[in-house]
Amino acid sequence: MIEVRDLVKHYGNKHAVNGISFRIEKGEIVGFLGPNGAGKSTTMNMITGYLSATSGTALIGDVDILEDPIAAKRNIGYLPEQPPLYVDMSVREYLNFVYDLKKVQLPRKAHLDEIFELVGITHVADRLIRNLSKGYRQRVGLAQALVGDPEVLILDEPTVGLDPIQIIEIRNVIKNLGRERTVILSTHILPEVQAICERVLVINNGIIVADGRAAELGARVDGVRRLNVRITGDVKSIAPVLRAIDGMKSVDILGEKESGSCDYQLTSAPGIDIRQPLFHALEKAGAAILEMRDAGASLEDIFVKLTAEAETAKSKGGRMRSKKKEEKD
Amino acid sequence: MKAIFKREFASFFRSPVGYVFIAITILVFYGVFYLVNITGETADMSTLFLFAQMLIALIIPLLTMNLISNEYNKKTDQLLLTAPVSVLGIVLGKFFAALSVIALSLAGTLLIPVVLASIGGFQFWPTVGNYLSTFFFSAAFLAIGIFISSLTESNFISGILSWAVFIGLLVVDLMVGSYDTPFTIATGKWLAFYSRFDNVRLGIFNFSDFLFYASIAAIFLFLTSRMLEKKRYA
Repeated sequence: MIEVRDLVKHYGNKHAVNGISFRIEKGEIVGFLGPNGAGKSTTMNMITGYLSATSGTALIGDVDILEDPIAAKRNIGYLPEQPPLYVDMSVREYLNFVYDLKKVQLPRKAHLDEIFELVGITHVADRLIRNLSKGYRQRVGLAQALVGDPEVLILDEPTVGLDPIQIIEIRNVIKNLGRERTVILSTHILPEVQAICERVLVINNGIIVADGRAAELGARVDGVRRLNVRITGDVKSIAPVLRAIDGMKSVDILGEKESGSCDYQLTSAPGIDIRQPLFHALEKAGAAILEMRDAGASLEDIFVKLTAEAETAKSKGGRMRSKKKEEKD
Repeated sequence: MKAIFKREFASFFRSPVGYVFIAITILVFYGVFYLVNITGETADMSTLFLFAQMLIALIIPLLTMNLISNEYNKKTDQLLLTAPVSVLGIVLGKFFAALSVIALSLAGTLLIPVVLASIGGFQFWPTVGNYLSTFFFSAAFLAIGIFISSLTESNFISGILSWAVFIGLLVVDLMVGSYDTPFTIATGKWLAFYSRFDNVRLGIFNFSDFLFYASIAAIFLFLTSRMLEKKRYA
Protein backbone atom coordinates (compact mmCIF):
# COMPACT_ATOMS: atom_id res chain seq x y z
CA MET A 1 0.00 0.00 0.00
CA ILE A 2 1.16 3.49 -0.77
CA GLU A 3 -0.44 6.57 0.59
CA VAL A 4 0.65 10.02 -0.44
CA ARG A 5 -0.70 13.07 1.33
CA ASP A 6 -0.30 16.61 0.08
CA LEU A 7 3.12 16.06 -1.32
CA VAL A 8 4.80 19.31 -2.31
CA LYS A 9 8.21 19.93 -3.79
CA HIS A 10 9.58 23.37 -4.51
CA TYR A 11 12.89 24.02 -6.19
CA GLY A 12 13.54 27.58 -5.15
CA ASN A 13 10.41 29.29 -6.36
CA LYS A 14 9.65 26.60 -8.90
CA HIS A 15 6.80 24.35 -7.88
CA ALA A 16 7.66 20.94 -9.31
CA VAL A 17 5.01 19.11 -7.33
CA ASN A 18 2.16 21.06 -5.92
CA GLY A 19 0.13 19.06 -3.44
CA ILE A 20 -0.42 15.53 -4.67
CA SER A 21 -2.51 13.01 -2.74
CA PHE A 22 -3.48 9.48 -3.60
CA ARG A 23 -3.73 6.01 -2.16
CA ILE A 24 -2.85 2.79 -3.91
CA GLU A 25 -3.89 -0.57 -2.51
CA LYS A 26 -2.09 -3.85 -2.70
CA GLY A 27 -2.72 -5.62 -5.99
CA GLU A 28 -3.22 -2.41 -7.89
CA ILE A 29 -1.16 -1.33 -10.87
CA VAL A 30 -1.41 2.39 -11.30
CA GLY A 31 -0.23 4.32 -14.31
CA PHE A 32 1.31 7.66 -13.67
CA LEU A 33 0.72 9.65 -16.79
CA GLY A 34 1.86 13.08 -17.76
CA PRO A 35 3.96 15.08 -20.17
CA ASN A 36 7.67 15.63 -19.64
CA GLY A 37 8.26 17.92 -16.73
CA ALA A 38 4.86 17.26 -15.19
CA GLY A 39 6.37 16.12 -11.90
CA LYS A 40 6.19 12.37 -12.35
CA SER A 41 9.83 11.60 -11.60
CA THR A 42 9.96 14.14 -8.80
CA THR A 43 6.95 12.52 -7.14
CA MET A 44 8.48 9.08 -7.50
CA ASN A 45 11.76 10.31 -6.13
CA MET A 46 9.97 11.64 -3.07
CA ILE A 47 8.02 8.44 -2.49
CA THR A 48 11.24 6.45 -2.61
CA GLY A 49 13.04 8.82 -0.27
CA TYR A 50 15.59 9.97 -2.83
CA LEU A 51 14.32 13.52 -2.61
CA SER A 52 12.90 15.18 0.41
CA ALA A 53 9.47 16.73 0.22
CA THR A 54 8.96 20.41 0.91
CA SER A 55 5.84 19.33 2.76
CA GLY A 56 3.50 16.37 2.89
CA THR A 57 4.09 12.70 3.61
CA ALA A 58 4.34 9.39 1.86
CA LEU A 59 3.50 6.12 3.58
CA ILE A 60 4.89 2.84 2.34
CA GLY A 61 2.83 0.13 3.98
CA ASP A 62 2.37 1.71 7.39
CA VAL A 63 5.75 3.35 7.50
CA ASP A 64 6.36 7.02 6.87
CA ILE A 65 9.28 7.49 4.50
CA LEU A 66 10.32 10.62 6.37
CA GLU A 67 10.05 9.20 9.87
CA ASP A 68 11.66 5.82 9.32
CA PRO A 69 13.30 5.93 5.90
CA ILE A 70 15.31 2.76 6.31
CA ALA A 71 12.33 0.61 7.24
CA ALA A 72 10.24 2.16 4.48
CA LYS A 73 12.92 1.70 1.85
CA ARG A 74 13.16 -1.99 2.68
CA ASN A 75 9.73 -2.45 1.12
CA ILE A 76 10.39 -0.48 -2.05
CA GLY A 77 11.82 -1.61 -5.34
CA TYR A 78 12.66 1.40 -7.45
CA LEU A 79 13.59 1.62 -11.09
CA PRO A 80 14.54 5.25 -11.73
CA GLU A 81 14.30 6.91 -15.11
CA GLN A 82 17.91 6.04 -15.77
CA PRO A 83 18.69 2.56 -14.42
CA PRO A 84 21.30 2.94 -11.66
CA LEU A 85 23.82 0.45 -13.01
CA TYR A 86 27.49 0.01 -12.24
CA VAL A 87 28.71 -0.70 -15.74
CA ASP A 88 32.03 -2.11 -14.59
CA MET A 89 30.29 -5.08 -12.96
CA SER A 90 28.77 -8.15 -14.52
CA VAL A 91 25.02 -8.58 -14.21
CA ARG A 92 25.48 -11.27 -11.59
CA GLU A 93 27.95 -9.24 -9.55
CA TYR A 94 25.68 -6.24 -9.73
CA LEU A 95 22.58 -8.06 -8.53
CA ASN A 96 24.57 -9.74 -5.78
CA PHE A 97 25.66 -6.29 -4.70
CA VAL A 98 22.06 -5.07 -4.68
CA TYR A 99 21.12 -8.16 -2.69
CA ASP A 100 23.75 -7.28 -0.09
CA LEU A 101 22.88 -3.60 -0.16
CA LYS A 102 19.23 -4.27 0.55
CA LYS A 103 20.14 -6.82 3.23
CA VAL A 104 17.82 -9.38 1.70
CA GLN A 105 17.04 -12.46 3.79
CA LEU A 106 15.80 -14.75 1.02
CA PRO A 107 18.03 -17.63 -0.17
CA ARG A 108 20.49 -15.80 -2.38
CA LYS A 109 21.03 -18.07 -5.32
CA ALA A 110 17.45 -19.23 -5.76
CA HIS A 111 16.10 -15.71 -5.42
CA LEU A 112 18.49 -14.16 -7.91
CA ASP A 113 18.09 -17.01 -10.40
CA GLU A 114 14.35 -16.53 -10.24
CA ILE A 115 14.75 -12.84 -11.05
CA PHE A 116 17.18 -13.57 -13.90
CA GLU A 117 14.58 -15.91 -15.34
CA LEU A 118 11.68 -13.53 -14.80
CA VAL A 119 13.15 -10.58 -16.68
CA GLY A 120 14.97 -12.75 -19.19
CA ILE A 121 18.60 -12.00 -18.45
CA THR A 122 19.82 -15.48 -17.54
CA HIS A 123 21.93 -15.78 -20.68
CA VAL A 124 23.68 -12.43 -20.11
CA ALA A 125 24.20 -12.93 -16.37
CA ASP A 126 27.97 -13.14 -16.64
CA ARG A 127 28.46 -10.31 -19.09
CA LEU A 128 29.65 -6.90 -18.09
CA ILE A 129 26.80 -4.41 -17.92
CA ARG A 130 28.97 -2.05 -19.97
CA ASN A 131 28.58 -4.41 -22.93
CA LEU A 132 24.82 -4.77 -22.77
CA SER A 133 22.37 -3.08 -25.11
CA LYS A 134 19.97 -0.47 -23.81
CA GLY A 135 17.12 -2.96 -23.66
CA TYR A 136 19.10 -5.39 -21.54
CA ARG A 137 20.31 -2.61 -19.28
CA GLN A 138 16.70 -1.65 -18.75
CA ARG A 139 15.92 -5.24 -17.81
CA VAL A 140 18.81 -5.35 -15.38
CA GLY A 141 17.43 -2.14 -13.91
CA LEU A 142 14.07 -3.82 -13.46
CA ALA A 143 15.77 -6.88 -11.97
CA GLN A 144 17.47 -4.62 -9.46
CA ALA A 145 14.09 -3.28 -8.35
CA LEU A 146 12.81 -6.83 -7.84
CA VAL A 147 15.65 -7.93 -5.57
CA GLY A 148 14.32 -8.60 -2.11
CA ASP A 149 10.79 -9.14 -3.38
CA PRO A 150 9.54 -5.72 -2.24
CA GLU A 151 5.85 -5.08 -1.65
CA VAL A 152 5.92 -1.80 -3.49
CA LEU A 153 7.35 -1.37 -6.96
CA ILE A 154 7.97 2.07 -8.38
CA LEU A 155 8.94 1.99 -12.01
CA ASP A 156 9.84 5.12 -13.91
CA GLU A 157 9.25 4.44 -17.58
CA PRO A 158 10.08 0.74 -17.36
CA THR A 159 9.82 -0.12 -21.05
CA VAL A 160 11.94 2.68 -22.47
CA GLY A 161 14.54 1.39 -24.89
CA LEU A 162 13.01 -2.04 -25.33
CA ASP A 163 12.02 -3.49 -28.67
CA PRO A 164 8.34 -4.31 -29.29
CA ILE A 165 8.65 -7.95 -28.30
CA GLN A 166 10.56 -7.11 -25.16
CA ILE A 167 7.96 -4.47 -24.33
CA ILE A 168 5.22 -7.07 -24.39
CA GLU A 169 7.30 -9.45 -22.27
CA ILE A 170 8.12 -6.83 -19.68
CA ARG A 171 4.54 -5.62 -19.53
CA ASN A 172 3.46 -9.17 -18.80
CA VAL A 173 6.09 -9.44 -16.10
CA ILE A 174 4.82 -6.24 -14.50
CA LYS A 175 1.22 -7.37 -14.76
CA ASN A 176 2.05 -10.63 -13.01
CA LEU A 177 4.04 -8.87 -10.35
CA GLY A 178 1.20 -6.44 -9.79
CA ARG A 179 -1.18 -9.14 -8.62
CA GLU A 180 0.35 -9.32 -5.20
CA ARG A 181 2.10 -6.01 -4.96
CA THR A 182 1.52 -2.34 -5.23
CA VAL A 183 2.88 -0.98 -8.47
CA ILE A 184 3.22 2.55 -9.75
CA LEU A 185 4.63 2.98 -13.20
CA SER A 186 5.12 6.22 -14.98
CA THR A 187 5.04 6.63 -18.68
CA HIS A 188 4.08 8.99 -21.37
CA ILE A 189 3.30 6.12 -23.69
CA LEU A 190 -0.47 5.96 -23.55
CA PRO A 191 -1.03 2.47 -24.94
CA GLU A 192 1.24 1.23 -22.19
CA VAL A 193 -1.14 2.47 -19.55
CA GLN A 194 -4.03 0.97 -21.42
CA ALA A 195 -2.21 -2.34 -21.63
CA ILE A 196 -1.07 -2.68 -18.02
CA CYS A 197 -2.91 -0.42 -15.64
CA GLU A 198 -6.36 -0.61 -14.17
CA ARG A 199 -6.08 2.83 -12.75
CA VAL A 200 -4.58 6.00 -14.13
CA LEU A 201 -3.34 9.11 -12.39
CA VAL A 202 -2.91 11.96 -14.80
CA ILE A 203 -0.50 14.57 -13.57
CA ASN A 204 0.38 17.90 -15.07
CA ASN A 205 2.22 20.91 -13.71
CA GLY A 206 2.64 19.17 -10.38
CA ILE A 207 -1.01 18.45 -9.68
CA ILE A 208 -3.25 15.47 -10.32
CA VAL A 209 -5.71 16.42 -13.01
CA ALA A 210 -7.49 13.08 -13.13
CA ASP A 211 -7.64 9.87 -11.13
CA GLY A 212 -9.69 6.89 -12.14
CA ARG A 213 -10.10 3.83 -14.28
CA ALA A 214 -9.06 4.36 -17.86
CA ALA A 215 -12.64 3.74 -18.99
CA GLU A 216 -14.21 6.06 -16.40
CA LEU A 217 -11.78 8.74 -17.33
CA GLY A 218 -12.96 8.53 -20.91
CA ALA A 219 -16.54 9.11 -19.86
CA ARG A 220 -15.56 11.96 -17.62
CA VAL A 221 -13.86 13.74 -20.44
CA ASP A 222 -16.55 14.05 -23.03
CA GLY A 223 -19.46 11.78 -22.21
CA VAL A 224 -19.93 11.30 -25.90
CA ARG A 225 -19.58 7.96 -27.51
CA ARG A 226 -17.89 7.20 -30.77
CA LEU A 227 -18.77 4.22 -32.90
CA ASN A 228 -16.98 2.99 -35.96
CA VAL A 229 -19.53 1.31 -38.21
CA ARG A 230 -19.35 -0.39 -41.58
CA ILE A 231 -22.65 -0.20 -43.40
CA THR A 232 -23.68 -1.62 -46.79
CA GLY A 233 -25.11 0.65 -49.44
CA ASP A 234 -24.41 3.96 -51.04
CA VAL A 235 -23.04 6.83 -48.94
CA LYS A 236 -25.50 9.30 -50.46
CA SER A 237 -28.53 7.34 -49.31
CA ILE A 238 -27.16 6.12 -45.97
CA ALA A 239 -25.61 9.29 -44.60
CA PRO A 240 -28.92 11.21 -44.38
CA VAL A 241 -30.50 8.25 -42.58
CA LEU A 242 -27.71 8.30 -40.04
CA ARG A 243 -27.93 12.04 -39.53
CA ALA A 244 -31.67 11.73 -38.92
CA ILE A 245 -31.21 9.48 -35.90
CA ASP A 246 -32.13 11.06 -32.57
CA GLY A 247 -29.11 11.93 -30.48
CA MET A 248 -26.65 11.79 -33.36
CA LYS A 249 -24.13 14.53 -33.00
CA SER A 250 -21.99 14.04 -36.05
CA VAL A 251 -21.35 11.60 -38.85
CA ASP A 252 -17.89 11.35 -40.31
CA ILE A 253 -17.48 9.41 -43.51
CA LEU A 254 -14.33 7.34 -43.39
CA GLY A 255 -14.63 5.99 -46.93
CA GLU A 256 -15.02 2.64 -48.63
CA LYS A 257 -12.90 -0.04 -47.02
CA GLU A 258 -14.82 -3.03 -48.29
CA SER A 259 -16.54 -2.98 -51.69
CA GLY A 260 -20.24 -2.27 -51.51
CA SER A 261 -20.04 -0.65 -48.10
CA CYS A 262 -18.78 2.43 -46.40
CA ASP A 263 -17.21 3.14 -42.99
CA TYR A 264 -18.54 5.89 -40.76
CA GLN A 265 -17.56 7.29 -37.45
CA LEU A 266 -20.63 8.24 -35.50
CA THR A 267 -20.54 10.53 -32.51
CA SER A 268 -23.53 10.57 -30.24
CA ALA A 269 -24.69 13.34 -27.94
CA PRO A 270 -23.71 12.96 -24.28
CA GLY A 271 -25.59 10.30 -22.38
CA ILE A 272 -27.41 8.77 -25.33
CA ASP A 273 -26.91 5.23 -26.57
CA ILE A 274 -27.62 5.28 -30.30
CA ARG A 275 -26.86 1.67 -31.07
CA GLN A 276 -30.43 0.42 -31.03
CA PRO A 277 -31.94 3.38 -32.95
CA LEU A 278 -29.09 2.97 -35.40
CA PHE A 279 -29.97 -0.66 -35.98
CA HIS A 280 -33.65 0.03 -36.49
CA ALA A 281 -33.09 3.01 -38.76
CA LEU A 282 -30.77 1.05 -40.99
CA GLU A 283 -33.09 -1.91 -41.07
CA LYS A 284 -35.84 0.41 -42.29
CA ALA A 285 -33.53 1.79 -44.95
CA GLY A 286 -32.67 -1.71 -46.06
CA ALA A 287 -29.00 -1.47 -45.17
CA ALA A 288 -27.00 -3.89 -43.06
CA ILE A 289 -24.36 -3.32 -40.40
CA LEU A 290 -21.30 -5.37 -41.28
CA GLU A 291 -19.18 -4.21 -38.41
CA MET A 292 -19.61 -2.00 -35.38
CA ARG A 293 -17.04 -1.18 -32.78
CA ASP A 294 -16.73 1.26 -29.93
CA ALA A 295 -14.12 3.83 -30.80
CA GLY A 296 -14.33 5.18 -27.25
CA ALA A 297 -12.36 8.17 -26.27
CA SER A 298 -8.75 7.21 -26.64
CA LEU A 299 -6.44 7.93 -23.79
CA GLU A 300 -4.71 10.40 -26.10
CA ASP A 301 -7.89 12.42 -26.32
CA ILE A 302 -8.41 12.20 -22.60
CA PHE A 303 -4.92 13.26 -21.93
CA VAL A 304 -4.87 16.24 -24.22
CA LYS A 305 -8.25 17.33 -22.98
CA LEU A 306 -7.48 16.95 -19.29
CA THR A 307 -4.20 18.77 -19.42
CA ALA A 308 -5.75 21.51 -21.50
CA GLU A 309 -8.61 21.79 -18.99
CA ALA A 310 -6.20 22.15 -16.14
CA GLU A 311 -4.31 24.85 -18.00
CA THR A 312 -7.38 26.92 -18.71
CA ALA A 313 -8.66 26.51 -15.18
CA LYS A 314 -5.39 27.81 -13.92
CA SER A 315 -5.18 30.77 -16.30
CA LYS A 316 -8.75 31.72 -15.43
CA GLY A 317 -7.73 31.76 -11.80
CA GLY A 318 -5.06 34.28 -12.76
CA ARG A 319 -2.36 32.00 -11.43
CA MET A 320 -0.93 30.95 -14.73
CA ARG A 321 2.75 30.49 -14.57
CA SER A 322 4.80 31.77 -17.43
CA LYS A 323 6.43 28.50 -18.29
CA LYS A 324 6.11 24.86 -17.62
CA LYS A 325 8.66 23.85 -15.11
CA GLU A 326 11.43 21.62 -16.13
CA GLU A 327 11.50 18.64 -13.92
CA LYS A 328 14.66 18.25 -11.99
CA ASP A 329 16.51 15.01 -12.87
CA MET B 1 28.11 -0.43 4.66
CA LYS B 2 29.61 -3.88 4.15
CA ALA B 3 28.05 -4.26 0.70
CA ILE B 4 29.34 -0.86 -0.35
CA PHE B 5 32.77 -1.56 1.04
CA LYS B 6 32.95 -4.84 -0.87
CA ARG B 7 31.78 -3.33 -4.15
CA GLU B 8 33.99 -0.29 -3.89
CA PHE B 9 37.08 -2.25 -2.94
CA ALA B 10 36.57 -4.68 -5.82
CA SER B 11 35.94 -1.82 -8.22
CA PHE B 12 39.39 -0.36 -7.49
CA PHE B 13 40.76 -3.53 -9.00
CA ARG B 14 38.33 -3.74 -11.90
CA SER B 15 39.96 -0.62 -13.27
CA PRO B 16 43.70 0.06 -13.25
CA VAL B 17 43.33 2.59 -10.40
CA GLY B 18 44.00 0.21 -7.54
CA TYR B 19 46.98 -1.39 -9.24
CA VAL B 20 48.42 1.95 -10.31
CA PHE B 21 48.12 3.34 -6.79
CA ILE B 22 49.80 0.36 -5.21
CA ALA B 23 52.48 0.24 -7.90
CA ILE B 24 53.40 3.92 -7.53
CA THR B 25 53.55 3.69 -3.75
CA ILE B 26 55.72 0.62 -3.79
CA LEU B 27 57.99 1.96 -6.53
CA VAL B 28 58.56 5.23 -4.73
CA PHE B 29 59.11 3.53 -1.37
CA TYR B 30 61.66 1.12 -2.73
CA GLY B 31 63.23 3.82 -4.91
CA VAL B 32 63.78 6.15 -1.97
CA PHE B 33 64.83 3.22 0.14
CA TYR B 34 67.50 2.40 -2.40
CA LEU B 35 68.71 5.98 -2.77
CA VAL B 36 68.65 6.91 0.91
CA ASN B 37 69.17 3.73 2.86
CA ILE B 38 71.18 1.49 0.58
CA THR B 39 73.38 4.09 -1.07
CA GLY B 40 73.50 6.23 2.05
CA GLU B 41 74.13 3.18 4.25
CA THR B 42 71.69 4.10 6.98
CA ALA B 43 68.87 2.23 8.72
CA ASP B 44 67.00 5.46 9.49
CA MET B 45 63.59 5.44 7.76
CA SER B 46 62.55 9.00 8.59
CA THR B 47 63.54 10.47 5.21
CA LEU B 48 61.71 7.68 3.50
CA PHE B 49 58.48 8.52 5.29
CA LEU B 50 58.87 12.22 4.60
CA PHE B 51 58.75 11.43 0.89
CA ALA B 52 56.10 8.78 1.37
CA GLN B 53 53.62 11.13 2.98
CA MET B 54 53.97 13.77 0.30
CA LEU B 55 53.65 11.13 -2.37
CA ILE B 56 50.54 9.66 -0.84
CA ALA B 57 48.95 13.08 -0.64
CA LEU B 58 49.62 13.52 -4.33
CA ILE B 59 48.14 10.23 -5.46
CA ILE B 60 45.19 9.99 -3.10
CA PRO B 61 42.99 11.92 -5.57
CA LEU B 62 43.36 8.88 -7.85
CA LEU B 63 41.35 6.93 -5.32
CA THR B 64 38.88 9.59 -4.28
CA MET B 65 38.05 11.58 -7.36
CA ASN B 66 35.53 9.05 -8.62
CA LEU B 67 34.19 7.85 -5.33
CA ILE B 68 31.10 10.01 -5.11
CA SER B 69 31.07 12.23 -8.17
CA ASN B 70 30.74 9.15 -10.32
CA GLU B 71 27.65 8.10 -8.40
CA TYR B 72 26.06 11.44 -9.22
CA ASN B 73 27.23 11.28 -12.78
CA LYS B 74 25.93 7.77 -13.46
CA LYS B 75 22.87 8.33 -11.27
CA THR B 76 23.77 5.29 -9.23
CA ASP B 77 23.34 7.42 -6.13
CA GLN B 78 19.64 6.79 -6.70
CA LEU B 79 20.21 3.13 -5.95
CA LEU B 80 22.27 3.81 -2.84
CA LEU B 81 20.06 6.52 -1.42
CA THR B 82 16.85 4.56 -1.93
CA ALA B 83 18.33 1.41 -0.38
CA PRO B 84 17.75 0.64 3.29
CA VAL B 85 21.16 1.94 4.37
CA SER B 86 22.19 5.07 6.19
CA VAL B 87 23.99 7.82 4.34
CA LEU B 88 26.88 7.65 6.76
CA GLY B 89 27.09 3.91 6.10
CA ILE B 90 27.51 4.64 2.40
CA VAL B 91 30.28 7.15 3.05
CA LEU B 92 32.09 4.91 5.52
CA GLY B 93 31.91 1.95 3.15
CA LYS B 94 33.63 3.97 0.48
CA PHE B 95 36.15 5.44 2.90
CA PHE B 96 37.23 2.09 4.28
CA ALA B 97 37.47 0.60 0.80
CA ALA B 98 39.91 3.31 -0.25
CA LEU B 99 41.74 3.07 3.06
CA SER B 100 42.17 -0.65 2.49
CA VAL B 101 43.88 0.04 -0.82
CA ILE B 102 46.30 2.32 1.00
CA ALA B 103 46.82 -0.28 3.70
CA LEU B 104 47.58 -2.83 0.99
CA SER B 105 50.17 -0.60 -0.62
CA LEU B 106 51.78 0.11 2.74
CA ALA B 107 51.83 -3.62 3.42
CA GLY B 108 53.68 -4.01 0.14
CA THR B 109 56.53 -1.93 1.54
CA LEU B 110 57.02 -4.01 4.68
CA LEU B 111 59.96 -5.74 3.09
CA ILE B 112 61.95 -2.56 3.72
CA PRO B 113 61.95 -2.75 7.53
CA VAL B 114 62.60 -6.48 7.28
CA VAL B 115 65.68 -5.83 5.18
CA LEU B 116 66.79 -3.03 7.47
CA ALA B 117 66.31 -5.18 10.54
CA SER B 118 68.52 -7.85 9.04
CA ILE B 119 71.24 -5.30 8.34
CA GLY B 120 71.23 -3.92 11.87
CA GLY B 121 70.78 -0.56 13.50
CA PHE B 122 67.06 -0.78 12.86
CA GLN B 123 64.64 0.82 15.31
CA PHE B 124 61.42 -1.08 15.73
CA TRP B 125 59.06 1.31 17.53
CA PRO B 126 59.83 4.46 15.50
CA THR B 127 59.10 2.41 12.35
CA VAL B 128 55.77 1.27 13.74
CA GLY B 129 55.07 4.91 14.60
CA ASN B 130 55.92 5.98 11.09
CA TYR B 131 53.68 3.39 9.48
CA LEU B 132 50.85 4.31 11.81
CA SER B 133 51.33 7.99 11.18
CA THR B 134 51.32 7.49 7.42
CA PHE B 135 48.14 5.50 7.75
CA PHE B 136 46.39 8.18 9.82
CA PHE B 137 47.71 10.89 7.56
CA SER B 138 46.27 9.02 4.56
CA ALA B 139 42.94 8.60 6.30
CA ALA B 140 42.66 12.36 6.82
CA PHE B 141 43.53 13.14 3.22
CA LEU B 142 41.19 10.45 1.98
CA ALA B 143 38.32 11.94 3.92
CA ILE B 144 39.04 15.37 2.47
CA GLY B 145 39.23 13.85 -1.01
CA ILE B 146 35.93 12.05 -0.56
CA PHE B 147 34.34 15.23 0.66
CA ILE B 148 35.55 17.10 -2.42
CA SER B 149 34.26 14.27 -4.58
CA SER B 150 30.83 14.78 -3.05
CA LEU B 151 30.78 18.39 -4.17
CA THR B 152 30.70 17.81 -7.90
CA GLU B 153 29.39 15.52 -10.60
CA SER B 154 32.63 15.76 -12.52
CA ASN B 155 35.43 13.45 -11.47
CA PHE B 156 37.85 15.72 -13.31
CA ILE B 157 36.95 18.75 -11.22
CA SER B 158 36.93 16.60 -8.12
CA GLY B 159 40.43 15.31 -8.87
CA ILE B 160 41.92 18.69 -9.73
CA LEU B 161 40.33 20.34 -6.73
CA SER B 162 41.70 17.69 -4.41
CA TRP B 163 45.17 18.17 -5.83
CA ALA B 164 44.87 21.91 -5.41
CA VAL B 165 43.82 21.51 -1.78
CA PHE B 166 46.54 18.99 -0.94
CA ILE B 167 49.26 21.04 -2.61
CA GLY B 168 47.85 24.18 -1.00
CA LEU B 169 48.20 22.51 2.39
CA LEU B 170 51.78 21.64 1.57
CA VAL B 171 52.47 25.27 0.66
CA VAL B 172 50.95 26.41 3.94
CA ASP B 173 53.13 23.91 5.69
CA LEU B 174 56.31 25.17 4.04
CA MET B 175 55.33 28.77 4.78
CA VAL B 176 54.94 28.00 8.45
CA GLY B 177 58.46 26.68 8.41
CA SER B 178 59.86 29.71 6.57
CA TYR B 179 58.09 32.71 8.10
CA ASP B 180 57.95 33.05 11.80
CA THR B 181 55.33 35.79 11.95
CA PRO B 182 52.73 35.43 14.70
CA PHE B 183 50.03 35.06 12.06
CA THR B 184 51.58 32.13 10.23
CA ILE B 185 52.38 30.44 13.48
CA ALA B 186 48.88 30.85 14.83
CA THR B 187 46.97 29.76 11.73
CA GLY B 188 49.60 27.68 10.04
CA LYS B 189 50.43 25.41 12.96
CA TRP B 190 46.91 24.19 12.94
CA LEU B 191 46.93 23.69 9.21
CA ALA B 192 50.31 22.00 9.22
CA PHE B 193 49.11 18.71 7.86
CA TYR B 194 52.50 17.56 6.70
CA SER B 195 54.91 18.71 9.36
CA ARG B 196 52.66 17.54 12.16
CA PHE B 197 54.30 14.18 11.94
CA ASP B 198 57.82 15.49 12.18
CA ASN B 199 57.78 14.44 15.80
CA VAL B 200 56.77 10.91 15.02
CA ARG B 201 59.34 10.73 12.29
CA LEU B 202 61.97 11.70 14.77
CA GLY B 203 60.72 9.07 17.16
CA ILE B 204 58.54 11.14 19.48
CA PHE B 205 55.19 9.48 19.71
CA ASN B 206 52.55 12.11 20.37
CA PHE B 207 49.01 10.91 20.80
CA SER B 208 47.45 14.29 20.03
CA ASP B 209 48.94 14.24 16.53
CA PHE B 210 47.13 11.03 15.76
CA LEU B 211 43.99 12.44 17.27
CA PHE B 212 44.31 15.45 14.97
CA TYR B 213 44.27 13.29 11.84
CA ALA B 214 41.52 11.07 13.13
CA SER B 215 39.39 14.13 13.87
CA ILE B 216 40.01 15.59 10.43
CA ALA B 217 38.92 12.30 8.90
CA ALA B 218 35.82 12.13 11.08
CA ILE B 219 34.83 15.72 10.36
CA PHE B 220 35.13 15.37 6.60
CA LEU B 221 33.36 12.03 6.50
CA PHE B 222 30.54 13.59 8.45
CA LEU B 223 30.48 16.58 6.09
CA THR B 224 30.37 14.22 3.14
CA SER B 225 27.32 12.48 4.55
CA ARG B 226 25.73 15.91 5.03
CA MET B 227 26.45 16.73 1.39
CA LEU B 228 24.73 13.55 0.26
CA GLU B 229 21.85 14.31 2.56
CA LYS B 230 21.69 17.87 1.32
CA LYS B 231 21.29 16.68 -2.23
CA ARG B 232 17.88 15.39 -1.23
CA TYR B 233 16.88 18.91 -0.32
CA ALA B 234 18.10 20.44 -3.57
